Amino acid sequence: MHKVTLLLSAIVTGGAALIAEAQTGTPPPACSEAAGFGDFDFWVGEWKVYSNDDQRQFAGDNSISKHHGDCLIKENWRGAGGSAGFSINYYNSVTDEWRQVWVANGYSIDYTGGLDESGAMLLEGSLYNYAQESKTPFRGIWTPQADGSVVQRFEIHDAETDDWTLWFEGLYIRADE
Amino acid sequence: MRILETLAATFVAGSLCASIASASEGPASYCDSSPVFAQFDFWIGHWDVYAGERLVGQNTISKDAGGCVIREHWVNMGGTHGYSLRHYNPLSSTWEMFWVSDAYTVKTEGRELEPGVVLLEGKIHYFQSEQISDFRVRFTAREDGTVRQLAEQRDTAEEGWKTWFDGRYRRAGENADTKERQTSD
Repeated sequence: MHKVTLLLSAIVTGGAALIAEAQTGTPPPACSEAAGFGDFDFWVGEWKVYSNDDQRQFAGDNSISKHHGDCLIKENWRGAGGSAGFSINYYNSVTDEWRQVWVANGYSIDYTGGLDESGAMLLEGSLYNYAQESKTPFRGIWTPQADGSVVQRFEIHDAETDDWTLWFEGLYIRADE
Repeated sequence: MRILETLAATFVAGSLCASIASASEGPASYCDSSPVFAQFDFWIGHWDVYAGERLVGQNTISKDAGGCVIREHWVNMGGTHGYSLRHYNPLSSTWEMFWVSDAYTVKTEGRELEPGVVLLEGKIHYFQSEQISDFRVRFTAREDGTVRQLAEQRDTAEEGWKTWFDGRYRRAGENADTKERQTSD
């Protein structure tokens, strides 16, 4: 077994370039056919995002796309006022955890998690505010709706009350609707 | 807390975006105005990547979001792609890099060793085998404008570090064998 592992190791560690050379066209469907990697598919698409309240204020455009054998989910956010944000999302089959790392102008968010019992994606971690040099417990909850829309709720942890408080709740409507 | 509310307001309504937009013409953003975020600037650009004398792929490295994020789009000559997102986290004083391709993820962090040299260390995780190994990548800016990317993997302490990829970056267009670039955003 150890020899097999070593052999595999030798194959896979031959360098990206060598692997590339060996491959002709379609890569192995490692992610697209494996359990777990499709958990966040309900979020994939081209979206118009609005505040999920009575005002329904347009917040921005969000492009969520899958790449590289469905191993990667990429987020490109364009805020209504011109701000930009990017995230990388991937599933770790060993730990059964999703991770998202988001970076925008002046802050980043790093959190992990997975589907909760209701089928919503729940990620929990930290928000790093650069100018304030603050690290705040932060979580995001993406809930697929029956009509195909998605509600995205962000919460920060309030140390004084030891409770999660609303930071932003957005409603995702598919851009072609 | 107030800052968080301000951030949320920015996110939601773009209420600060007007000022951010004007800030791009006037005062720089937090990241653009802090020299530490420029430590990886030598790697920004469109590159032909060589292993020895062989062209093995092309890499496009761009900076965005007020200079806070660096994104990498890799296309190798075999047609497979990879993507990474990296950023400097001023709270941990480290660069953090996250890579995903169709075969593996890499998660590393590290810092500038000296100007033009950045070392990132972490793990590589292969999807199919579920093998997880120590991984490190050293980026070195050369005097001739090229960049060396040396990636190494260590499966066990006894075996030690082994070269995984040793690539030389040359600016695209500076060589005759540059092929048409594939980019995706």
